[in-house]
Amino acid sequence: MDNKRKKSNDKTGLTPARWILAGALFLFLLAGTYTYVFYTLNSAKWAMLGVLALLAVTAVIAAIVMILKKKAKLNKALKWVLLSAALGAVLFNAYLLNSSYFVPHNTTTVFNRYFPVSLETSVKLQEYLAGKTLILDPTVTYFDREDDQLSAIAHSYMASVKSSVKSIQTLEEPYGFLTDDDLAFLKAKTDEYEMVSWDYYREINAYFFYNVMDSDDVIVLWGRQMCMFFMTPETFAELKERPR
Amino acid sequence: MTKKRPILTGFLIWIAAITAMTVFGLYMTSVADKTEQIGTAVGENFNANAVKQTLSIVVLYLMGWVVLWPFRSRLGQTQVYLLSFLVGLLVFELISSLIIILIVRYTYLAVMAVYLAVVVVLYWRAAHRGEAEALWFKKSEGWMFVLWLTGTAAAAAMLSFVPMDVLSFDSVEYMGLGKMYASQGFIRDYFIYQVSGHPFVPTLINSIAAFFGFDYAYAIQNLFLVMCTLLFGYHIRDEIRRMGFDDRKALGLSALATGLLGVNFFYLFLGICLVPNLFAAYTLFFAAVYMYRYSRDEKPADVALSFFFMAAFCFSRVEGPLLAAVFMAYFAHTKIENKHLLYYTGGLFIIVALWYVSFYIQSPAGFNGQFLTVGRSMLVAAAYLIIGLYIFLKDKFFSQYNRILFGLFMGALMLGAVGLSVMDMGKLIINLKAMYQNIFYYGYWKVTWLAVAGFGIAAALVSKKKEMFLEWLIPIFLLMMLILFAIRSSTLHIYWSDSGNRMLMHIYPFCVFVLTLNILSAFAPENSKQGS
Repeated sequence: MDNKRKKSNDKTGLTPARWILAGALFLFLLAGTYTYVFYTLNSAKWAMLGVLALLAVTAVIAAIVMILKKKAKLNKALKWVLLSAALGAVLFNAYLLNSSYFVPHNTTTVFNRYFPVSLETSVKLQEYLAGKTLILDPTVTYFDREDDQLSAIAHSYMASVKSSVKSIQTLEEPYGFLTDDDLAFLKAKTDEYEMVSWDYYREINAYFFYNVMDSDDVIVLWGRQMCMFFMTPETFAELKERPR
Repeated sequence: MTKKRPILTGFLIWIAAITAMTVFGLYMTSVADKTEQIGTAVGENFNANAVKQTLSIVVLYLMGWVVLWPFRSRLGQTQVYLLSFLVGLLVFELISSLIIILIVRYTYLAVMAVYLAVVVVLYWRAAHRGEAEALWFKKSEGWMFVLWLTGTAAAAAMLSFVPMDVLSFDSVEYMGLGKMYASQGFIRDYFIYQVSGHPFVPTLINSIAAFFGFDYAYAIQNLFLVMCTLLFGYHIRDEIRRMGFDDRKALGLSALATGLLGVNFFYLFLGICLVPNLFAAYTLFFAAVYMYRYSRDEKPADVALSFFFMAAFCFSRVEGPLLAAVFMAYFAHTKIENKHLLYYTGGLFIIVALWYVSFYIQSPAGFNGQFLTVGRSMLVAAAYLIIGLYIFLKDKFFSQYNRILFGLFMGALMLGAVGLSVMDMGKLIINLKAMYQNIFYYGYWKVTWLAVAGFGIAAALVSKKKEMFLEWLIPIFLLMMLILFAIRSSTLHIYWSDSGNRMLMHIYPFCVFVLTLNILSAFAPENSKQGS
């Protein structure tokens, strides 16, 4: 927008819009601090302390600003504070990049180690499926249109396990997407499955394994909520026996 | 008069940089060797793959350089060299898209034939304008060319030999699709394989891999990230210099801002691992930055580059054309001359209309993508016509009401975002909750958005910047995000792979750019002089 910023008549020279924006960003900062500390330390008490610390720091900064403004040294001080903050942000981010914070699994290739989740999931899939014959439902193979994201994920993880499985075949008779009833049936068998997941939120991108460790053949189906189901032919037979 | 750096010093700096890159590359390779990570994604013959990929990068670099050479007096040599690889890659891809759209058999020779025609036209036009002499090398330019070429080739070799071969699900999909186009020659099989309207720009880098005979174009995408980051730094340095800072300070401050952008985990993660986001984020960013430069300096080369990047953006995500249309509507309220905006909008309309028509001619009956449905495609194409008409009428009758019209435009966008969102409140709540949690924890952004908020407060309170061309793009993009999430069938979810995270990446370079310039405007020598 080519309009010039409006000047207000108050002493600060700031328009109300800029105060509102700064206020909104401050609330964002407070809420973010609470959330960040809460999830990092898993403690509401520390999160609240973080917020209080931020408020205290803000009060101190405000007091310093007032004093420096009276002494007309604000501009120079502000320049150095902001420069230091920017440099601090760069260094802190660089530290986070190199810290073990992002290295939850044991691989040392510098860039690979930043991507723990997909690798972890890949490793799990490979571990579960090594040496087995995968029998995919054709929807998995041909990426049916009903669930786009899932097909992409399925394809990628199928690609990642190709080297470890014995062979990949396709079901002669397609079963199709799992219905709500199918899902309810499968999820009820909690004693028979192990779930590998990168995101438990709304059961997205979850992988359910039904006693596949002792079976040579593994049937692969998928559900609508981006869940993949790996099961023995026996479990699959049980599933098929039910009326659809 | 500024003292020119002797060519020998420049040469020594370059040699040092190349040596450092080589040492770093060898170290990384030896580390990867020990952990047996080499070649997990690059095929069986690692060395041959890496050599071929390096060569392909050099070819793309030269292709871009040849296209840009006639414009070097307008763009400046440094910018030409920084843009060469990006333009070479995107020219290859846009020509590829054109060939596929026009249902011509897609081969390497077909691409090069069209490229040759484009070059002939560009050089003929330059000669026609009486700039034939400018097409030839000057002696002093020879060294610059050699240094940049060797530097880029060294970076290409390092990135090709260092196995940054992280596969993401997007990359695997794009790899399959790109190779399929190259081997089949058409997009027919796309409709069997395609899963969510995968756009051309990220996909086609793997067609390049197929044409050059290597397996996975990881180094091409990594070099794209490197060159975009450097060009980001170039632009921010240029803006800082315009504020009146001397060269040394401009270099230091731009390095700091580029560092803020470049050391972010998610930035690197998306740049290396999730190709489409990198392409979409940077094509959008450069389209806007060159438009901003054009609005200020009115140099035709800037608007041409903006159009080039915007066209690439339209092919870098399925929602790209819709976002581009909304940005055109925004540009209509800036001081950009409306005649040029009409050409710009018309050009985009032709590209988008051609793409949609071709898409539905080539697709099987009854095909509907997640976003690419017949209805939506028609709406997007119609949006360009309406915006073109609006620009024409506004210029003719309503130019004096620009501020009011801009307010109405923003109001309409807000109304659209709120209206579409409240139609499914459950989805809206999940989306907002997931986005909030991702921003502050699950998305691996870590302290990024906290830092943006902190610097944002400072920027809001100290800025002396007089115009807000780029600033407005941030809320407009955020509103468009809400609209797109309301339109899409699936909800957002927490963790790094979430599409909300990826779309936030699109405005992250904007945020760093805008905050840096706003804060620095308070300390700019020119403002100090005015204030004193």
